[in-house]
Amino acid sequence: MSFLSQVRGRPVFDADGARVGTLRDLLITGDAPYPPVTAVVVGDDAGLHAVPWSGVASVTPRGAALKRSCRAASFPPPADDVIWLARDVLDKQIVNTTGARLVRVNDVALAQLDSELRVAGVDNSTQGLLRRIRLGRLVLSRAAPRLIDWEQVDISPALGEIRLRVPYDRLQRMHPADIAEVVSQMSPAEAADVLEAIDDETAARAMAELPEEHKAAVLTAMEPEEAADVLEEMDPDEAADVLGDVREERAEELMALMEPAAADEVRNLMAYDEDTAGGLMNTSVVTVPQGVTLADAIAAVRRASGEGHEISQVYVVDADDHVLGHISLAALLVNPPGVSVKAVMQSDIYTVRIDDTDEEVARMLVHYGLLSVAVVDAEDRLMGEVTIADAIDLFAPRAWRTRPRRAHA
Amino acid sequence: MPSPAEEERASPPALVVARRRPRHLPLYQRLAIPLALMGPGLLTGIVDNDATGITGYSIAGAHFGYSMLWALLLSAVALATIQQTVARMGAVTGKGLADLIRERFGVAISLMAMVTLLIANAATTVAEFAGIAGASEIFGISRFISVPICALVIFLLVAYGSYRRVEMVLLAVSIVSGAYIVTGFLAGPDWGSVAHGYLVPSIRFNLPYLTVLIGLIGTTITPWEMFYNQAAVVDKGVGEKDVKMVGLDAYAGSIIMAIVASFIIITTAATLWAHGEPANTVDDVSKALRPLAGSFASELFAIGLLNASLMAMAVLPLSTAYAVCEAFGWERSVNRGVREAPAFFGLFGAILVAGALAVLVPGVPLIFLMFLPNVVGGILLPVILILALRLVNDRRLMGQFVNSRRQNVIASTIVAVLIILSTIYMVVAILSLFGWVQT
Repeated sequence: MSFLSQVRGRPVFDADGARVGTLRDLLITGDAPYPPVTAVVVGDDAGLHAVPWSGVASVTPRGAALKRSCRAASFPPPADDVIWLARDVLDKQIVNTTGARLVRVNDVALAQLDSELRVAGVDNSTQGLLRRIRLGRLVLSRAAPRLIDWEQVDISPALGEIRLRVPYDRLQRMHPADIAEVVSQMSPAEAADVLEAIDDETAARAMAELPEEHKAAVLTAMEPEEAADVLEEMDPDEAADVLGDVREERAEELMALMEPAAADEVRNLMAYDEDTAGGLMNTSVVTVPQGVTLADAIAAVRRASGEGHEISQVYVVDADDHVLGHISLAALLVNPPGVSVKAVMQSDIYTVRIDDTDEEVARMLVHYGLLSVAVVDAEDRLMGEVTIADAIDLFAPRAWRTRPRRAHA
Repeated sequence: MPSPAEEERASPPALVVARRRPRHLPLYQRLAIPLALMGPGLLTGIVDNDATGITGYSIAGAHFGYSMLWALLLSAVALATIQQTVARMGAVTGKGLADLIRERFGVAISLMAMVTLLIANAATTVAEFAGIAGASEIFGISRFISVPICALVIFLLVAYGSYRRVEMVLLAVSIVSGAYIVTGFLAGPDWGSVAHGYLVPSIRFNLPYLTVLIGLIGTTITPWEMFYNQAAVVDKGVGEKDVKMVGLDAYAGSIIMAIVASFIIITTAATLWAHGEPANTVDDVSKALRPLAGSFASELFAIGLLNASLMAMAVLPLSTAYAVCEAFGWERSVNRGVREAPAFFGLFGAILVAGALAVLVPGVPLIFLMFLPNVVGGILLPVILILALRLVNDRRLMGQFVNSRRQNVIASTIVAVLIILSTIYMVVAILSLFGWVQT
């Protein structure tokens, strides 16, 4: 096992032991597991040359040796769009997928396997830092540093221009809440790059989990089209919250790019204060008149669900949108489809006024142990519902919520 | 004819759509909007006139009259260029300065840059505590009470993340620095000398003059402003399309800074310098405001000094700890516990505690503490400036947004001037130490 910092800058010798240049970097291709070094970048007076691995006899901390008949100067300069370990990975920030952490690469561990030199892992220890300034021996413990296995990291955030070759594969497989955790450690621009690269649905779920203050900045940093796509995938109340925090021209620009129906819904929700029931509620509620059957109600749920809305129950309303009762999804499933909704609906309905404070809504949910409450206007007409998921931030312990990553600015 | 039930059945189940209702913002939110729109550059420009700034400009005016206004003018131009540069870097790369230095130059150079930043910022933090001590003692409150309380309050505000609102209040109170503008007119300066001071550069090769000159440049352009401004631009999530906007914001901040600083120099020159009064203590310096506030000059000065010190305290230790942890990849966030981010909270706490303790050393002259960071910063600034210049000219990083020739000329000039001045300063300092030149 050796480290990139130990071989970089070392002399490169030809088969006769004559010095031909300096080892400047190692090239890898991103998609292989524990990727082998494909070429060694050798620098001499004429510039940089990419000597393919087949022409390299060895790379050690004492220096690198080329095979007989291999002349470094005869190889072309290295291509820009491959991964250079020192230039593109060393010192950059990458994602440790197991810990959901953004880590700084202090060094890269290399392992010789048969005739290949492979990338084994990433060193982000203090020992790695000291090794970089040639003080590695100062460390009291001689134990090997704790490395992060290469298969557990996603280096895409470090790659910038050439990241298309490694499209956030491992990061994308993380849970959206963990993606949010990682992304919240990044600057808004870096976070925007990640959310643009992963699929819209995952991005929307991760966006919803971001700390409040971070959301608007990330949305501002994203490409407008990508941002609009992500907003469409978000719950309308959450999309409205984020849009309420960005500059007005920007919010208008994004809503113009969204599907008109989704944009309208968000626009309507933005009319309510964030800290009222109106600001918390979701307007995509399924309602049915009291004369219909369960089969009709099920059809309505299917339709709404097909449009991407999350449905927890069906509300039964009269012609003026006054709530008469509600039916749980379980009740829809277990009762015969021909039964009238009126026969199975629960008429003990909990409602809050649209201008009630968010705290009152949360108290009601907790006090009665509800999964959701209906939101009505001054004339008792149904306007939407607040689920426990919408309100959870209000009663989760303060310490569980993430606060702004950077307190300055 | 369908039955009523069938008719009802035929009407499709509908999705409720909320009706629009006007959004009423509470009054305090409406008032906060203009403040929230204020960009990082403007904010940095205002915070620039902190305890070190007030002291640096007061001493320049009190000892050398209007003769250093030219240096202030050139420093302000340089500041505008540098602040525009870091703001542009933040907007284009989306990364902080410490981040870029680490990624581009590696561990060793980062270490050097961070030690530089740490020394300059720790010295400035001491100065802000000195400002708090000086201001509280004008009101008859012992520094042994005010300084620990302020340190604790700053720590708690940051730990609980609610200091942004406080920052807004401090910014609003910073309008008291306008007192210098009013006093500047009331004191009736010799406007001919003022114009001469701006337009005709003069330099003297003695230790006091060079100290104050380096101090003046050092308080106008500081390493922390570069790190802070860039980080603040990054945090807004603005991109390449906003380069022009963040640039204008940086210019606006520099202009505000220059106006206030000019009037501090003009006011102290027209009062203390014109009457040959000393400027050795906080109380001496506060007397410059007498034409406006009469016998309340000290109290007015104290309010301004306290506010300026607190404003800088709210950003300095925090942004320092943040930059260092960013460079070395340590956990950094106020929302992590002390156990999860020991380096971050350790640095933050250490800067606060060390700063507070330095001021509580018996008999330490406050004016000296408030002036020292200007000279330290002036000498260390080239280190950070050179790194920033190399970064902003890196086409791989900045693309079409690399520095223009004009920007490079201005920035290189300030680097060269600072290096030459610092060298002359050192030489003169050593010579005068051995009594070889008259000081």
